[in-house]
Amino acid sequence: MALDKFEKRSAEVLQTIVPIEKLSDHELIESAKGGDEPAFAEIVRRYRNPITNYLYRFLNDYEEAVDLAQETFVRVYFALERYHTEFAFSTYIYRIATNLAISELRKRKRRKLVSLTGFFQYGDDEEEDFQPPDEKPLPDVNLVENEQSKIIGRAIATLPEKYRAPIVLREIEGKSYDEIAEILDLGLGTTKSRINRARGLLKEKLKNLI
Amino acid sequence: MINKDLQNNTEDGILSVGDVKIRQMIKNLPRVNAPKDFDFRLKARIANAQPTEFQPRFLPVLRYVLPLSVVVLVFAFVIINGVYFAEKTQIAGNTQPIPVESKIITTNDSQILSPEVAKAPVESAPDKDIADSSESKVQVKKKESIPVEETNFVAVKSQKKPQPELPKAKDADEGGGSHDSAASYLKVITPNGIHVNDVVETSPNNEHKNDILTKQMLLPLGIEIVSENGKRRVQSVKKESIAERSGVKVGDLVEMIDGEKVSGDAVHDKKLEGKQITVLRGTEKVEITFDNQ
Repeated sequence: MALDKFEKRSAEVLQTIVPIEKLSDHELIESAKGGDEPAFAEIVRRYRNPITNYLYRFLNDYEEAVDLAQETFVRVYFALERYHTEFAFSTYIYRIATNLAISELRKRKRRKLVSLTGFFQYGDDEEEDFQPPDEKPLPDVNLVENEQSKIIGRAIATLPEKYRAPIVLREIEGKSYDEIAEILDLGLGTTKSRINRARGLLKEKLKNLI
Repeated sequence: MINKDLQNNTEDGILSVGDVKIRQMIKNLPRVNAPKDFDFRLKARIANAQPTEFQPRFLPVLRYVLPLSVVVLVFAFVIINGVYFAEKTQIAGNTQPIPVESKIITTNDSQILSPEVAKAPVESAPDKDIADSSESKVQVKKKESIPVEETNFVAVKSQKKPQPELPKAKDADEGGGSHDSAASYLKVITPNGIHVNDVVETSPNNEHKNDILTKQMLLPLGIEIVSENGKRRVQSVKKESIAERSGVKVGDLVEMIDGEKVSGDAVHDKKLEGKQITVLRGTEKVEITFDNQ
Protein backbone atom coordinates (compact mmCIF):
# COMPACT_ATOMS: atom_id res chain seq x y z
CA MET A 1 0.00 0.00 0.00
CA ALA A 2 2.78 2.34 1.03
CA LEU A 3 4.69 1.28 -2.03
CA ASP A 4 1.72 2.12 -4.23
CA LYS A 5 1.53 5.57 -2.73
CA PHE A 6 5.22 6.04 -3.28
CA GLU A 7 5.01 4.94 -6.88
CA LYS A 8 2.04 7.20 -7.47
CA ARG A 9 3.85 10.14 -5.95
CA SER A 10 7.00 9.40 -7.93
CA ALA A 11 4.97 9.29 -11.14
CA GLU A 12 3.41 12.64 -10.24
CA VAL A 13 6.84 14.05 -9.53
CA LEU A 14 8.12 12.71 -12.84
CA GLN A 15 5.17 14.26 -14.61
CA THR A 16 5.78 17.61 -13.06
CA ILE A 17 9.46 17.60 -13.77
CA VAL A 18 9.65 15.84 -17.15
CA PRO A 19 7.14 16.73 -19.88
CA ILE A 20 4.76 13.84 -20.50
CA GLU A 21 5.83 13.59 -24.12
CA LYS A 22 9.32 12.67 -23.05
CA LEU A 23 8.32 9.83 -20.75
CA SER A 24 8.98 6.29 -21.94
CA ASP A 25 6.14 3.91 -22.63
CA HIS A 26 6.78 1.99 -19.45
CA GLU A 27 6.76 5.15 -17.35
CA LEU A 28 3.51 6.22 -18.93
CA ILE A 29 2.01 2.81 -18.24
CA GLU A 30 3.06 3.02 -14.61
CA SER A 31 1.43 6.43 -14.36
CA ALA A 32 -1.69 5.18 -16.09
CA LYS A 33 -1.88 2.29 -13.64
CA GLY A 34 -2.11 4.85 -10.86
CA GLY A 35 -5.12 6.43 -12.56
CA ASP A 36 -3.23 9.08 -14.49
CA GLU A 37 -5.48 9.75 -17.46
CA PRO A 38 -3.13 12.10 -19.33
CA ALA A 39 -0.50 9.35 -19.28
CA PHE A 40 -2.90 6.95 -20.95
CA ALA A 41 -3.96 9.67 -23.37
CA GLU A 42 -0.30 10.11 -24.30
CA ILE A 43 0.00 6.37 -25.00
CA VAL A 44 -3.06 6.62 -27.23
CA ARG A 45 -1.62 9.65 -29.01
CA ARG A 46 1.64 7.81 -29.69
CA TYR A 47 0.14 4.59 -31.00
CA ARG A 48 -3.24 5.48 -32.52
CA ASN A 49 -1.84 6.24 -35.98
CA PRO A 50 0.64 3.32 -36.27
CA ILE A 51 -1.95 0.86 -35.00
CA THR A 52 -4.67 2.25 -37.28
CA ASN A 53 -2.31 2.13 -40.25
CA TYR A 54 -1.15 -1.39 -39.40
CA LEU A 55 -4.72 -2.64 -39.06
CA TYR A 56 -5.77 -0.85 -42.22
CA ARG A 57 -3.04 -2.56 -44.23
CA PHE A 58 -3.89 -5.83 -42.58
CA LEU A 59 -7.64 -5.65 -43.23
CA ASN A 60 -7.82 -3.21 -46.15
CA ASP A 61 -10.91 -1.66 -44.51
CA TYR A 62 -10.54 1.73 -42.86
CA GLU A 63 -13.68 1.68 -40.68
CA GLU A 64 -12.87 -1.77 -39.43
CA ALA A 65 -9.28 -0.74 -38.79
CA VAL A 66 -10.35 2.26 -36.69
CA ASP A 67 -12.84 0.13 -34.79
CA LEU A 68 -10.23 -2.52 -34.01
CA ALA A 69 -7.65 0.13 -33.11
CA GLN A 70 -10.07 1.50 -30.53
CA GLU A 71 -10.78 -1.99 -29.28
CA THR A 72 -7.03 -2.49 -28.94
CA PHE A 73 -6.76 0.54 -26.66
CA VAL A 74 -9.80 -0.54 -24.66
CA ARG A 75 -8.11 -3.90 -24.06
CA VAL A 76 -4.88 -2.18 -23.08
CA TYR A 77 -6.74 0.11 -20.69
CA PHE A 78 -8.50 -2.73 -18.88
CA ALA A 79 -5.37 -4.87 -18.80
CA LEU A 80 -3.01 -2.22 -17.48
CA GLU A 81 -2.67 -3.99 -14.14
CA ARG A 82 -1.69 -7.21 -15.84
CA TYR A 83 0.89 -5.61 -18.11
CA HIS A 84 4.46 -6.68 -17.41
CA THR A 85 7.46 -4.77 -18.58
CA GLU A 86 9.26 -7.86 -19.91
CA PHE A 87 8.31 -6.86 -23.44
CA ALA A 88 8.44 -3.50 -25.11
CA PHE A 89 5.03 -1.83 -24.95
CA SER A 90 4.96 -1.56 -28.73
CA THR A 91 5.34 -5.36 -28.97
CA TYR A 92 2.50 -5.76 -26.50
CA ILE A 93 0.09 -3.43 -28.27
CA TYR A 94 0.90 -4.79 -31.75
CA ARG A 95 0.30 -8.30 -30.48
CA ILE A 96 -3.15 -7.32 -29.22
CA ALA A 97 -3.92 -5.57 -32.50
CA THR A 98 -2.73 -8.57 -34.54
CA ASN A 99 -4.86 -10.98 -32.53
CA LEU A 100 -7.92 -8.78 -32.96
CA ALA A 101 -7.28 -8.49 -36.68
CA ILE A 102 -6.90 -12.26 -37.07
CA SER A 103 -10.13 -12.79 -35.14
CA GLU A 104 -11.85 -10.31 -37.40
CA LEU A 105 -10.56 -12.11 -40.51
CA ARG A 106 -11.89 -15.41 -39.18
CA LYS A 107 -15.26 -13.82 -38.47
CA ARG A 108 -15.32 -12.53 -42.03
CA LYS A 109 -14.54 -16.00 -43.33
CA ARG A 110 -17.43 -17.43 -41.35
CA ARG A 111 -19.75 -14.73 -42.62
CA LYS A 112 -18.56 -15.43 -46.13
CA LEU A 113 -19.34 -19.10 -45.72
CA VAL A 114 -22.82 -18.37 -44.47
CA SER A 115 -23.72 -15.73 -47.00
CA LEU A 116 -25.28 -16.93 -50.21
CA THR A 117 -22.94 -14.86 -52.32
CA GLY A 118 -20.04 -16.61 -50.66
CA PHE A 119 -20.92 -19.74 -52.57
CA PHE A 120 -20.27 -18.04 -55.86
CA GLN A 121 -17.00 -16.37 -54.96
CA TYR A 122 -13.45 -17.63 -55.02
CA GLY A 123 -12.97 -17.35 -51.30
CA ASP A 124 -9.53 -18.82 -50.81
CA ASP A 125 -6.92 -16.42 -49.56
CA GLU A 126 -4.27 -18.34 -51.41
CA GLU A 127 -5.87 -17.57 -54.72
CA GLU A 128 -4.78 -14.64 -56.73
CA ASP A 129 -7.14 -11.80 -57.46
CA PHE A 130 -7.88 -11.49 -61.09
CA GLN A 131 -6.69 -8.03 -62.03
CA PRO A 132 -6.68 -7.39 -65.73
CA PRO A 133 -4.12 -4.86 -66.82
CA ASP A 134 -5.62 -1.47 -67.58
CA GLU A 135 -4.70 -0.65 -71.18
CA LYS A 136 -6.30 2.81 -71.23
CA PRO A 137 -4.08 5.90 -71.04
CA LEU A 138 -4.14 7.36 -67.56
CA PRO A 139 -4.95 11.05 -67.38
CA ASP A 140 -3.52 11.97 -64.05
CA VAL A 141 -0.34 10.92 -62.27
CA ASN A 142 -1.93 11.22 -58.83
CA LEU A 143 -4.78 9.10 -59.94
CA VAL A 144 -2.31 6.53 -61.19
CA GLU A 145 -0.53 6.57 -57.85
CA ASN A 146 -3.79 6.19 -55.95
CA GLU A 147 -4.85 3.38 -58.17
CA GLN A 148 -1.47 1.71 -57.75
CA SER A 149 -1.73 2.03 -53.97
CA LYS A 150 -5.15 0.43 -54.05
CA ILE A 151 -3.85 -2.47 -56.09
CA ILE A 152 -0.91 -2.99 -53.73
CA GLY A 153 -3.22 -2.69 -50.72
CA ARG A 154 -5.57 -5.28 -52.19
CA ALA A 155 -2.64 -7.55 -53.01
CA ILE A 156 -1.44 -7.39 -49.40
CA ALA A 157 -4.96 -7.96 -48.12
CA THR A 158 -5.29 -11.09 -50.23
CA LEU A 159 -2.18 -12.68 -48.75
CA PRO A 160 -2.79 -15.51 -46.29
CA GLU A 161 -2.94 -14.11 -42.77
CA LYS A 162 0.22 -15.94 -41.69
CA TYR A 163 2.20 -14.04 -44.38
CA ARG A 164 0.26 -10.81 -44.17
CA ALA A 165 1.09 -9.85 -40.59
CA PRO A 166 4.89 -10.33 -40.95
CA ILE A 167 5.17 -8.43 -44.24
CA VAL A 168 3.08 -5.49 -42.98
CA LEU A 169 5.03 -5.31 -39.75
CA ARG A 170 8.30 -5.50 -41.67
CA GLU A 171 7.78 -3.30 -44.69
CA ILE A 172 5.10 -0.88 -43.52
CA GLU A 173 5.73 -0.58 -39.79
CA GLY A 174 9.48 -1.05 -40.15
CA LYS A 175 9.81 -3.55 -37.30
CA SER A 176 12.91 -5.67 -36.87
CA TYR A 177 12.78 -9.43 -37.29
CA ASP A 178 13.17 -9.89 -33.55
CA GLU A 179 10.26 -7.60 -32.79
CA ILE A 180 8.10 -9.31 -35.39
CA ALA A 181 9.01 -12.69 -33.96
CA GLU A 182 7.99 -11.47 -30.50
CA ILE A 183 4.77 -9.86 -31.68
CA LEU A 184 3.68 -12.93 -33.60
CA ASP A 185 5.14 -15.32 -31.06
CA LEU A 186 7.15 -17.10 -33.73
CA GLY A 187 10.73 -18.26 -34.08
CA LEU A 188 13.16 -16.01 -35.86
CA GLY A 189 13.67 -18.49 -38.71
CA THR A 190 9.94 -18.89 -39.26
CA THR A 191 9.49 -15.13 -39.25
CA LYS A 192 12.19 -14.64 -41.88
CA SER A 193 10.88 -17.39 -44.11
CA ARG A 194 7.34 -16.06 -43.89
CA ILE A 195 8.47 -12.59 -44.85
CA ASN A 196 10.40 -13.98 -47.82
CA ARG A 197 7.43 -16.06 -48.85
CA ALA A 198 5.16 -13.01 -48.55
CA ARG A 199 7.50 -11.04 -50.81
CA GLY A 200 7.46 -13.84 -53.35
CA LEU A 201 3.68 -13.98 -53.34
CA LEU A 202 3.41 -10.23 -53.70
CA LYS A 203 5.89 -10.29 -56.59
CA GLU A 204 3.63 -12.74 -58.38
CA LYS A 205 0.51 -10.72 -57.64
CA LEU A 206 2.05 -7.42 -58.68
CA LYS A 207 4.15 -8.54 -61.64
CA ASN A 208 2.22 -6.18 -63.88
CA LEU A 209 3.36 -3.22 -61.81
CA ILE A 210 7.02 -4.19 -61.46
CA MET B 1 14.97 6.65 -39.47
CA ILE B 2 17.82 6.29 -41.89
CA ASN B 3 19.69 4.17 -39.36
CA LYS B 4 16.65 1.94 -38.93
CA ASP B 5 16.35 1.51 -42.68
CA LEU B 6 20.01 0.62 -42.89
CA GLN B 7 19.60 -1.90 -40.10
CA ASN B 8 16.59 -3.39 -41.84
CA ASN B 9 18.51 -3.64 -45.08
CA THR B 10 21.32 -5.46 -43.32
CA GLU B 11 18.86 -7.84 -41.69
CA ASP B 12 17.30 -8.65 -45.04
CA GLY B 13 20.66 -9.37 -46.63
CA ILE B 14 20.92 -9.24 -50.39
CA LEU B 15 17.53 -8.87 -52.01
CA SER B 16 16.69 -9.51 -55.63
CA VAL B 17 15.68 -6.62 -57.87
CA GLY B 18 12.06 -7.76 -57.72
CA ASP B 19 12.13 -7.90 -53.93
CA VAL B 20 13.63 -4.42 -53.73
CA LYS B 21 10.95 -3.05 -56.03
CA ILE B 22 8.21 -4.73 -54.04
CA ARG B 23 9.70 -3.32 -50.91
CA GLN B 24 9.80 0.18 -52.36
CA MET B 25 6.24 -0.05 -53.54
CA ILE B 26 4.99 -1.17 -50.13
CA LYS B 27 7.02 1.47 -48.33
CA ASN B 28 5.62 4.15 -50.62
CA LEU B 29 2.08 3.31 -49.67
CA PRO B 30 0.44 6.34 -48.07
CA ARG B 31 0.11 6.07 -44.30
CA VAL B 32 -3.35 6.11 -42.89
CA ASN B 33 -4.03 8.02 -39.69
CA ALA B 34 -6.68 7.63 -37.05
CA PRO B 35 -9.68 9.94 -37.39
CA LYS B 36 -9.79 13.20 -35.43
CA ASP B 37 -12.49 12.01 -33.08
CA PHE B 38 -10.52 8.87 -32.25
CA ASP B 39 -9.74 9.93 -28.67
CA PHE B 40 -13.27 11.09 -27.99
CA ARG B 41 -14.80 7.87 -29.28
CA LEU B 42 -12.24 5.86 -27.37
CA LYS B 43 -13.12 7.61 -24.10
CA ALA B 44 -16.78 6.94 -24.68
CA ARG B 45 -16.02 3.33 -25.46
CA ILE B 46 -13.95 2.87 -22.33
CA ALA B 47 -16.68 4.51 -20.25
CA ASN B 48 -19.30 2.14 -21.66
CA ALA B 49 -17.13 -0.94 -21.63
CA GLN B 50 -17.00 -3.35 -18.75
CA PRO B 51 -13.62 -4.57 -17.58
CA THR B 52 -13.02 -8.00 -19.05
CA GLU B 53 -12.06 -9.44 -15.67
CA PHE B 54 -15.57 -8.85 -14.34
CA GLN B 55 -17.15 -10.76 -17.15
CA PRO B 56 -18.03 -14.25 -16.14
CA ARG B 57 -15.64 -16.56 -17.91
CA PHE B 58 -18.05 -19.46 -18.03
CA LEU B 59 -20.50 -17.56 -20.26
CA PRO B 60 -18.94 -18.76 -23.53
CA VAL B 61 -19.04 -22.30 -22.18
CA LEU B 62 -22.66 -21.93 -21.15
CA ARG B 63 -23.52 -20.85 -24.65
CA TYR B 64 -22.75 -24.38 -25.83
CA VAL B 65 -23.52 -26.34 -22.69
CA LEU B 66 -27.07 -25.08 -22.17
CA PRO B 67 -28.50 -25.98 -25.58
CA LEU B 68 -26.61 -29.26 -25.47
CA SER B 69 -28.05 -30.17 -22.09
CA VAL B 70 -31.56 -29.28 -23.28
CA VAL B 71 -31.12 -31.57 -26.29
CA VAL B 72 -29.78 -34.36 -24.07
CA LEU B 73 -32.71 -33.97 -21.67
CA VAL B 74 -35.22 -34.11 -24.50
CA PHE B 75 -33.57 -37.23 -25.92
CA ALA B 76 -33.47 -38.86 -22.49
CA PHE B 77 -37.16 -38.05 -21.96
CA VAL B 78 -38.09 -39.50 -25.33
CA ILE B 79 -35.99 -42.64 -24.82
CA ILE B 80 -37.20 -43.27 -21.27
CA ASN B 81 -40.79 -42.72 -22.31
CA GLY B 82 -40.30 -45.00 -25.29
CA VAL B 83 -38.94 -47.80 -23.11
CA TYR B 84 -41.66 -47.27 -20.52
CA PHE B 85 -44.45 -47.41 -23.08
CA ALA B 86 -42.83 -50.37 -24.79
CA GLU B 87 -42.87 -52.24 -21.48
CA LYS B 88 -46.45 -51.18 -20.87
CA THR B 89 -47.45 -52.39 -24.30
CA GLN B 90 -45.67 -55.67 -23.66
CA ILE B 91 -47.55 -56.13 -20.40
CA ALA B 92 -50.75 -55.27 -22.19
CA GLY B 93 -49.81 -57.85 -24.80
CA ASN B 94 -49.43 -60.48 -22.09
CA THR B 95 -52.97 -59.87 -20.90
CA GLN B 96 -54.32 -60.98 -24.22
CA PRO B 97 -56.57 -63.95 -23.86
CA ILE B 98 -54.73 -67.22 -23.50
CA PRO B 99 -56.48 -69.94 -25.36
CA VAL B 100 -57.55 -72.73 -23.06
CA GLU B 101 -56.92 -76.13 -24.55
CA SER B 102 -59.66 -75.90 -27.04
CA LYS B 103 -59.58 -79.61 -27.86
CA ILE B 104 -60.81 -80.43 -24.39
CA ILE B 105 -63.77 -78.18 -24.84
CA THR B 106 -64.39 -79.90 -28.11
CA THR B 107 -64.69 -83.18 -26.26
CA ASN B 108 -67.68 -81.77 -24.49
CA ASP B 109 -69.50 -80.91 -27.66
CA SER B 110 -71.72 -83.93 -27.50
CA GLN B 111 -72.48 -83.30 -23.87
CA ILE B 112 -73.33 -79.72 -24.46
CA LEU B 113 -75.56 -80.86 -27.22
CA SER B 114 -77.14 -83.48 -24.99
CA PRO B 115 -80.70 -82.59 -24.03
CA GLU B 116 -79.93 -82.78 -20.34
CA VAL B 117 -77.23 -80.26 -20.57
CA ALA B 118 -79.18 -78.12 -22.94
CA LYS B 119 -81.98 -77.95 -20.40
CA ALA B 120 -79.68 -76.71 -17.71
CA PRO B 121 -79.71 -72.96 -17.18
CA VAL B 122 -76.58 -72.42 -19.16
CA GLU B 123 -76.05 -69.20 -20.93
CA SER B 124 -74.97 -71.15 -23.91
CA ALA B 125 -78.45 -72.18 -24.91
CA PRO B 126 -81.02 -69.69 -23.79
CA ASP B 127 -83.15 -70.07 -26.84
CA LYS B 128 -83.70 -72.32 -29.75
CA ASP B 129 -81.57 -70.43 -32.19
CA ILE B 130 -78.54 -70.69 -30.05
CA ALA B 131 -79.26 -74.31 -29.25
CA ASP B 132 -79.55 -75.03 -32.95
CA SER B 133 -76.40 -73.30 -33.76
CA SER B 134 -74.60 -74.50 -30.67
CA GLU B 135 -72.05 -76.29 -32.76
CA SER B 136 -71.06 -73.15 -34.50
CA LYS B 137 -71.16 -71.26 -31.22
CA VAL B 138 -68.90 -73.76 -29.63
CA GLN B 139 -66.63 -73.30 -32.56
CA VAL B 140 -66.62 -69.62 -31.81
CA LYS B 141 -65.83 -70.37 -28.22
CA LYS B 142 -62.86 -72.38 -29.30
CA LYS B 143 -61.46 -69.31 -30.93
CA GLU B 144 -62.60 -67.24 -28.04
CA SER B 145 -60.68 -67.74 -24.95
CA ILE B 146 -60.82 -66.98 -21.35
CA PRO B 147 -59.01 -63.76 -20.73
CA VAL B 148 -56.52 -64.05 -17.96
CA GLU B 149 -53.99 -61.67 -16.57
CA GLU B 150 -50.95 -63.93 -16.69
CA THR B 151 -50.12 -67.45 -17.71
CA ASN B 152 -50.47 -68.47 -14.09
CA PHE B 153 -54.15 -67.64 -14.15
CA VAL B 154 -56.57 -69.96 -15.77
CA ALA B 155 -60.28 -69.63 -15.90
CA VAL B 156 -62.22 -72.04 -13.78
CA LYS B 157 -65.62 -72.16 -12.32
CA SER B 158 -66.09 -70.08 -9.26
CA GLN B 159 -68.75 -67.89 -7.76
CA LYS B 160 -71.00 -66.52 -10.36
CA LYS B 161 -70.38 -62.90 -10.93
CA PRO B 162 -72.84 -60.52 -12.42
CA GLN B 163 -71.82 -60.30 -16.02
CA PRO B 164 -72.01 -56.91 -17.62
CA GLU B 165 -74.67 -56.67 -20.21
CA LEU B 166 -73.11 -57.01 -23.57
CA PRO B 167 -74.09 -54.53 -26.22
CA LYS B 168 -76.58 -55.81 -28.71
CA ALA B 169 -75.00 -57.06 -31.86
CA LYS B 170 -76.97 -54.73 -34.04
CA ASP B 171 -73.82 -53.54 -35.71
CA ALA B 172 -72.98 -57.06 -36.65
CA ASP B 173 -75.18 -56.76 -39.71
CA GLU B 174 -73.46 -53.62 -40.81
CA GLY B 175 -70.28 -55.49 -41.51
CA GLY B 176 -66.74 -54.23 -41.25
CA GLY B 177 -64.94 -53.48 -38.00
CA SER B 178 -61.97 -55.16 -36.46
CA HIS B 179 -61.82 -58.68 -35.18
CA ASP B 180 -61.68 -57.41 -31.60
CA SER B 181 -64.70 -55.19 -31.94
CA ALA B 182 -66.60 -57.98 -33.64
CA ALA B 183 -65.65 -60.38 -30.89
CA SER B 184 -66.80 -57.96 -28.23
CA TYR B 185 -70.37 -58.19 -29.56
CA LEU B 186 -70.49 -61.96 -29.48
CA LYS B 187 -72.24 -63.62 -26.65
CA VAL B 188 -69.76 -65.94 -25.06
CA ILE B 189 -71.01 -69.43 -24.45
CA THR B 190 -69.44 -71.15 -21.51
CA PRO B 191 -70.01 -74.45 -19.79
CA ASN B 192 -72.39 -74.42 -16.88
CA GLY B 193 -71.01 -72.71 -13.85
CA ILE B 194 -68.05 -71.17 -15.65
CA HIS B 195 -67.77 -67.54 -16.29
CA VAL B 196 -65.36 -66.03 -18.71
CA ASN B 197 -64.12 -63.53 -16.21
CA ASP B 198 -63.70 -66.01 -13.39
CA VAL B 199 -60.07 -66.35 -12.54
CA VAL B 200 -58.27 -68.31 -9.98
CA GLU B 201 -54.62 -68.37 -9.23
CA THR B 202 -52.90 -71.56 -10.04
CA SER B 203 -49.50 -72.83 -10.98
CA PRO B 204 -48.81 -73.84 -14.54
CA ASN B 205 -47.93 -77.49 -13.83
CA ASN B 206 -49.75 -80.38 -15.41
CA GLU B 207 -51.47 -81.52 -12.24
CA HIS B 208 -53.27 -78.22 -11.93
CA LYS B 209 -54.09 -78.24 -15.57
CA ASN B 210 -55.56 -81.68 -15.19
CA ASP B 211 -57.61 -80.51 -12.23
CA ILE B 212 -59.03 -77.68 -14.13
CA LEU B 213 -59.65 -79.62 -17.28
CA THR B 214 -61.28 -82.43 -15.36
CA LYS B 215 -63.52 -79.95 -13.63
CA GLN B 216 -64.43 -78.41 -16.94
CA MET B 217 -65.17 -81.82 -18.38
CA LEU B 218 -67.35 -82.96 -15.51
CA LEU B 219 -69.25 -79.78 -14.87
CA PRO B 220 -71.59 -80.15 -17.88
CA LEU B 221 -72.51 -83.56 -16.51
CA GLY B 222 -73.54 -81.93 -13.25
CA ILE B 223 -70.52 -83.04 -11.25
CA GLU B 224 -68.55 -80.54 -9.26
CA ILE B 225 -65.26 -81.86 -8.01
CA VAL B 226 -62.63 -80.57 -5.68
CA SER B 227 -58.98 -81.55 -5.68
CA GLU B 228 -57.63 -82.99 -2.44
CA ASN B 229 -54.12 -84.39 -2.16
CA GLY B 230 -53.98 -85.16 -5.84
CA LYS B 231 -57.40 -86.85 -5.82
CA ARG B 232 -60.56 -85.48 -7.38
CA ARG B 233 -63.44 -85.78 -4.94
CA VAL B 234 -67.01 -85.15 -5.99
CA GLN B 235 -68.13 -82.21 -3.95
CA SER B 236 -71.66 -81.89 -5.25
CA VAL B 237 -73.91 -83.43 -7.83
CA LYS B 238 -76.45 -81.26 -9.53
CA LYS B 239 -80.00 -82.28 -8.98
CA GLU B 240 -81.71 -83.95 -11.89
CA SER B 241 -78.50 -83.91 -13.82
CA ILE B 242 -77.24 -86.78 -15.91
CA ALA B 243 -74.67 -87.50 -13.18
CA GLU B 244 -77.29 -87.78 -10.48
CA ARG B 245 -79.38 -90.06 -12.64
CA SER B 246 -76.35 -92.19 -13.40
CA GLY B 247 -75.58 -92.60 -9.72
CA VAL B 248 -72.66 -90.36 -9.01
CA LYS B 249 -72.47 -89.66 -5.29
CA VAL B 250 -70.90 -86.94 -3.26
CA GLY B 251 -67.56 -88.15 -1.90
CA ASP B 252 -66.71 -90.35 -4.88
CA LEU B 253 -63.14 -90.05 -6.00
CA VAL B 254 -62.90 -89.66 -9.76
CA GLU B 255 -60.05 -91.79 -11.06
CA MET B 256 -60.70 -92.28 -14.73
CA ILE B 257 -62.62 -90.67 -17.54
CA ASP B 258 -63.34 -92.85 -20.53
CA GLY B 259 -60.85 -95.35 -19.12
CA GLU B 260 -58.01 -92.82 -18.94
CA LYS B 261 -56.48 -91.76 -15.66
CA VAL B 262 -57.26 -88.16 -14.80
CA SER B 263 -53.86 -87.70 -13.22
CA GLY B 264 -51.97 -88.50 -16.42
CA ASP B 265 -51.57 -86.55 -19.59
CA ALA B 266 -54.56 -88.22 -21.13
CA VAL B 267 -56.94 -85.54 -20.03
CA HIS B 268 -55.33 -82.91 -22.15
CA ASP B 269 -53.61 -85.10 -24.69
CA LYS B 270 -56.51 -87.24 -25.81
CA LYS B 271 -59.88 -86.33 -27.02
CA LEU B 272 -62.12 -87.66 -24.26
CA GLU B 273 -65.87 -87.66 -24.60
CA GLY B 274 -66.77 -88.08 -20.94
CA LYS B 275 -69.18 -90.98 -21.55
CA GLN B 276 -67.89 -93.06 -18.70
CA ILE B 277 -66.09 -92.34 -15.45
CA THR B 278 -64.53 -94.62 -12.89
CA VAL B 279 -64.87 -93.53 -9.29
CA LEU B 280 -63.57 -94.93 -6.04
CA ARG B 281 -66.38 -95.17 -3.54
CA GLY B 282 -64.87 -96.14 -0.23
CA THR B 283 -62.68 -99.03 -1.26
CA GLU B 284 -64.81 -100.04 -4.18
CA LYS B 285 -64.23 -99.00 -7.74
CA VAL B 286 -67.43 -98.08 -9.54
CA GLU B 287 -67.75 -97.53 -13.26
CA ILE B 288 -70.47 -95.12 -14.18
CA THR B 289 -71.64 -94.79 -17.73
CA PHE B 290 -73.67 -91.78 -18.78
CA ASP B 291 -76.49 -92.40 -21.09
CA ASN B 292 -77.95 -89.62 -23.11
CA GLN B 293 -81.35 -89.74 -21.57
